[in-house]
Amino acid sequence: MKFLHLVWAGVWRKPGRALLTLASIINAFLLYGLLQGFVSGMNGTVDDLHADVLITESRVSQLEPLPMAQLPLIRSTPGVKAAAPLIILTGAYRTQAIANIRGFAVDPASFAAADPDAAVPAGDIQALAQTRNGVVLPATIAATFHLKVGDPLPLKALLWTTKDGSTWPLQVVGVYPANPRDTLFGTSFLANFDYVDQARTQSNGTASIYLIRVNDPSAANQVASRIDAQFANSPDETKTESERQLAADSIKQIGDIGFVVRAIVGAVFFALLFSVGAVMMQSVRERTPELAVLKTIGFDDNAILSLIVAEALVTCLFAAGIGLGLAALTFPIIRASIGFNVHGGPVLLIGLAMAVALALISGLPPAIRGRRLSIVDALAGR
Amino acid sequence: MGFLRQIWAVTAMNLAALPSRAGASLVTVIGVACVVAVMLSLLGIGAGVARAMKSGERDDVAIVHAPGATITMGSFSPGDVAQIAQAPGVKRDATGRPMVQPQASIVVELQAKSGGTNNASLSGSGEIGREMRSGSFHLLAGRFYRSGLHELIVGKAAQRQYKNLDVGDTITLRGTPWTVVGAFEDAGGIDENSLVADADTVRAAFNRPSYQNVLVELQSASNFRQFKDALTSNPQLQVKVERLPDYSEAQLKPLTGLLSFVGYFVGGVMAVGVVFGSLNTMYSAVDARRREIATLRAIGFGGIAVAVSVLVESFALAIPGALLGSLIAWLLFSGHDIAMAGISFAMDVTPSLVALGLIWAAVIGLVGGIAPAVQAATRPVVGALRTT
Repeated sequence: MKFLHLVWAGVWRKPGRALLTLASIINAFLLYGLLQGFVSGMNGTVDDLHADVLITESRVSQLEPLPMAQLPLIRSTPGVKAAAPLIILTGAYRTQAIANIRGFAVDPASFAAADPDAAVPAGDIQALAQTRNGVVLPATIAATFHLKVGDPLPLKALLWTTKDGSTWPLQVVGVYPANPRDTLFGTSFLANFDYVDQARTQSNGTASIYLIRVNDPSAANQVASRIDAQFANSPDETKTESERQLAADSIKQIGDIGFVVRAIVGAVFFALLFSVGAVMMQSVRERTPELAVLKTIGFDDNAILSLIVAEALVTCLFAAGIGLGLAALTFPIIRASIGFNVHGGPVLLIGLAMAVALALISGLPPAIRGRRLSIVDALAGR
Repeated sequence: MGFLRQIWAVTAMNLAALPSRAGASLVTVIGVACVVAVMLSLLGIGAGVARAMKSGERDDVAIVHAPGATITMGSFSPGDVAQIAQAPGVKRDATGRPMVQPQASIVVELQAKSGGTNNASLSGSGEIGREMRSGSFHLLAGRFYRSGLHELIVGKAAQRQYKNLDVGDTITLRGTPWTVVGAFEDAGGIDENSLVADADTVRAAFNRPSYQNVLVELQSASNFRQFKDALTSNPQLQVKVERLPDYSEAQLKPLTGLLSFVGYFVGGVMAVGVVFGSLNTMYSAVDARRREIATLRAIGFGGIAVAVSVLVESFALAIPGALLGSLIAWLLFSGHDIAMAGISFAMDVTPSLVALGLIWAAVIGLVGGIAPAVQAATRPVVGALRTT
C-alpha cells in the first residue's frame, strides 16, 4: 500500500497517453455493461414471474382464437382459482412510433379476480367497467405518449378491425402505476372485452388466451395438463403453460442474443488487450533507466514486477470502474423504457473480474521484462 | 511541384519505417479490424433479412389487403375476390383465367429441432400463386399438394428448422393430420420458412370464413395506378392496395430499422474506443520520430509535408484493418444461416457494407491522425532537436 503513490505516479507519467488509454478502457467497459445489462434484464424477467399463473392458448398457435365455451370448463377444473378471457389488442398508436403498444381486452370483474398482483387498482377496474370504450394505461405508456385521463386513444390494432374499418376509438379512463417486473400486465393497457369482442369484424365470441390463477403454485403443472386434457382431440386443442415457461419460449424465439452479445464483447476486449498491452510495453521500455535506478536503490526483481503489474491493475480497475459506473447509470433507464429489470450485480462483478484479467494479461509481459533488467545494462542504455 | 515531391519523399520514408514500429502499429490495425468485423456482421443480419424478404418479388404484382389491421384473421369473401379479379389491369393467363390468388395464412406452432416450439406460417395459396412465382419457385422433392386433401409442401428453411417435415411425414395441426408431400426452394426468400397448402383447404380446416389478402398479377407494372383506383373507388370493397415490394418493405422496416440501429450504435461506440487507441499509437509514433521530424524540418521540409505523412500513416493502418475486418465478417458470416424471430435466412455481407466499413475506417484514421499530425508539424524544431 505504501507504494500506491509510486504506482499512481507511474500511471500518470505521460498524462496525455494515460487519458487516452483510460478513455479506451472506459469505453469498452461501458459497452460491455450496456450490452450485458440488457441481456441480464432479458433473462431476469423470466425469474421474476409468478409461479401460480397459467396461460392457456390454442395448440395451433398463439394467434388462433379459442371459443368462449371453454371458459366455464376451465373454471370448474379442480385446482383453478380464477380464470379470465383475454383478447390480444396490441397495436399501433401514432404511426411514427417504432413499436406497437401492448394491450389486452379483459372482462374487468374476472380479470380483477385472476390478476395475481392486483397490478391494476380497483378504482381503475371500476372506471373500465363503467366506460364501454375505456382503456386503462400503465404509467409508462401514458408518459411516452403524454396521455392523461380523458384523452382519446385511437388505436390501430394488429389483429382486429372494427366494423367500419377504422381505428379503435378508445378513451383513457385510468392510469395505473407501471410494474416492469410484471411482464404480462405491468406494462400493458387494458380495454373492455365485451366492447372489443362485439365490435370486431370476426372471431366474435372467442378469446385469444385465458389467464388462469391456480390455488397451489406447486401443483400448477398438474392443473395445466388437466385443462389441456379436457380439450384434447377437440377442434380447439389448448396448450397451457406457466407464465415463466411462456416468457422463456418467447425470448428463445427472438434468437440467441446472448451469443451475439458475447461475440461483440469478445471482439471489443480482443482489440482492447492489444491496445493496453502495447501502451504498457512502451511505457516500460521508455522507463528502462528509471527502473534501473529503482533496482539500484534496493527494489528487488519481484518488487519491480509487482510495481508494473500494480500499475496495470490500477489503470484497468480505475477505468473499468468508471465505465461500469456509467453503464449502471443507464440500468434504471433500461428498466423504465423497456421494462427489463436489469440484474446489475453479477454484470458488474464479472466486469471487474474481466478488468483484472485484462490487467494481468497486458501487464505481465512488460513486468517480466522489467524484472529481468540487469542494472548495469539498463543504466548504460543497452 | 516541389511541394508534392516533398510530401511524397517524407511519406515514403515514413511508410518504409513502419515495420520498425510494427507492435504499436498493429494495435490500430487490429482495433479497426474488430470494429469493422463486428459492425458488418450486425449490419449483415439486416441485409440478409432485406434480401430474403425481397427476393423474387416483382413490380407487376400487387397485394390487396384490409385497411386497419396488419395481421387479420381474414377479410375477403370469395365474392370480394371475384370483384377484385374483374378490376381493370389484371393479367389473364393463356386460358383466360385472371391471375388472382386469394391467400389464407395461419400461424402454426411446430416442434423446433433446437427444442421447444416455434411459430411458423402455413400459407394457403394455389395454382395461380405458383404461376406468379414460377421464375424462382422450384420443387426439390415430391410433388405439389392437391386441393381438398390435407396435403402440404414445405420450404427448405422450414425443413431445416423444424422436426417431422420430411417428404412423407405427417404432422397434426388443429387435430387434423396433414401429409408433407413435397419440399421447395424459392430463391432463398422468406417464403422458404413456411408451409404451403391449398388456400380453400386451409380455410376449411382452420374454420376461416374469408381470405386474408389477395395477390394480383397486373398486365404490367404501369397498370398499378389504374387497378388501385378501380378497387379503392369501389364502394363494396374496403381495401388497401400496394405493390408487393412496397408492402414487404413496410413489413420489414421495423426489424431492419432495429438491426441497423444496433449495428451503428455498437459500431459507433467501438469506433470511439479505437480512435483513442489510434491516437495513442500516432502520438507515440510522432514522439518516437521527433528528432527525425525536427531534422527534416531543419533541412527545409515544410510542416504540411510532415503532417500529411503522419495522416497517410494513420490511413495506411486503418484501411488494411478495415479490409481484414471485412474479410473476417465475410468468411465467418456471409451466407451463414441464422434463425431470428422465427424465420431463418442467410446473412449477407454485401459490397456496399464493405464500402461502409472502409469509410468508417477512413474516419477513424482521420480523427486518430489529425491531432498528432498537427503536433508533428508545429513542434518547435530547436526544442525537439535538443531533447534526448
